[in-house]
Amino acid sequence: MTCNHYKQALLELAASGPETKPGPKLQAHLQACTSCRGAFENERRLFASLDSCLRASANCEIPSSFSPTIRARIQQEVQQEVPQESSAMRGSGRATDRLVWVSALAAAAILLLIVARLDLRLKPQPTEEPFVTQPAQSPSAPQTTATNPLQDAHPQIAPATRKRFAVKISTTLNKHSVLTGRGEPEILVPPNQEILLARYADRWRRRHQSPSLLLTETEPTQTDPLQVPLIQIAELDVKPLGPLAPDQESDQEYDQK
Amino acid sequence: MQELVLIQLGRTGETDLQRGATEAALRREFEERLAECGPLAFRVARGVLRNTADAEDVAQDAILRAYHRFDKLRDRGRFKAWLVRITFRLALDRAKSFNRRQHRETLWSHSERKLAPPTAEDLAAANQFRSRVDRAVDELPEKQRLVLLLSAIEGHSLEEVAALLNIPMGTVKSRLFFARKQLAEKLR
Repeated sequence: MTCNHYKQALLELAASGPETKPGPKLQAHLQACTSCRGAFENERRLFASLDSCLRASANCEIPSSFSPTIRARIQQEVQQEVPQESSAMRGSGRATDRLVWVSALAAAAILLLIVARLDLRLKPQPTEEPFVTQPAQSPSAPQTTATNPLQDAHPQIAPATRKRFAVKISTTLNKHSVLTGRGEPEILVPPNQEILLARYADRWRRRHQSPSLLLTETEPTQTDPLQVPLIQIAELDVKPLGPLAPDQESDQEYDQK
Repeated sequence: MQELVLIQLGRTGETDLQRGATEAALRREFEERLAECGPLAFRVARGVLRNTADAEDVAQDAILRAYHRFDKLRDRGRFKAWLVRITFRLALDRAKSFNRRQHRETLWSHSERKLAPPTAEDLAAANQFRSRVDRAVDELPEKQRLVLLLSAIEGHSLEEVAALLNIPMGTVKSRLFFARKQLAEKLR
């Protein structure tokens, strides 16, 4: 066998550790071959220094603070655990109480909300009552029924929207209005002004209706030119002034004085 | 009704007492084992990190982790191996994060790379061979590294290492052999 053949075996023998003994063949070759013996010794030295280095690194001195620090940390952990447990026991009761309170409050809030919504639904919609009670018809007054101008101006608005409108009015006309039990605004009008208000309402309504009238489609029809009859004025009849009335005479005397 | 309430209270107190006693016994047992295995944990961490402060920190973390899970350990006789594994894993994690941080810092530093000046500790402790050995050990596979480390610590025999790692003796031998061989190849 050549030295190359033994070389690998010798390296493996050195790597196996100092305790491992070479086989009889290898032992014989080491005794016979000086170069192989030298290489083997070198390998052994390398591994010896490697082992000593590893041992020195691995078996360093343990710091004196190591064990007390560990014990202190464990003690700290134990002390932290105990209050946590007791507080958890105490906290569970508190948490339950808090949970009960929170759930009760939430239930109350939901109930209030439901009641409020029900109340809103149950309230009667604003009726088409006249805005102002119709006064006794005087012969000179026009034949108009004063209705709520806002209601007439927006006939297409949904009742809910109208209701919101009515509420708005009630807030703006707070000084001059008295809210009835149903929430309908009732405007107090000074005497002899009902007709004026009725006229105003009628005008307001017509003004707001005119755009809708303009928008309505009409059939294109040929309209004849307007023919107006000639105005005929009768001859003026001039009459002389008559004697003054007795009360007119007294007025003149008073003026002279 | 009154009696039933009293009996229930008594039982609760008894359970608390029992639990307290069990916990105290566990703590005592842990401390006993800690006195035996604490230094080993530190040395394993030191073998991986090669820094006393970091090793102490990691060993403490590992021991605390073991303490928290000690009651879940079925075989208390395996505590030493268990602690060694925890420590080794934590130390490896720390070393990896340290290496990553160092790599980042190197990348972010000036393009002209300069070697960090050796500290007084480095000068005192390290020689060239040692630093080469350390580098070579770092490049070993984890399993081989642990076997090499444990066999170097406190002169553990191969049987002890096998028992500690709960692996067959042949596996310990082969891992140690390949680890030494690789180290020699790198140091040659």
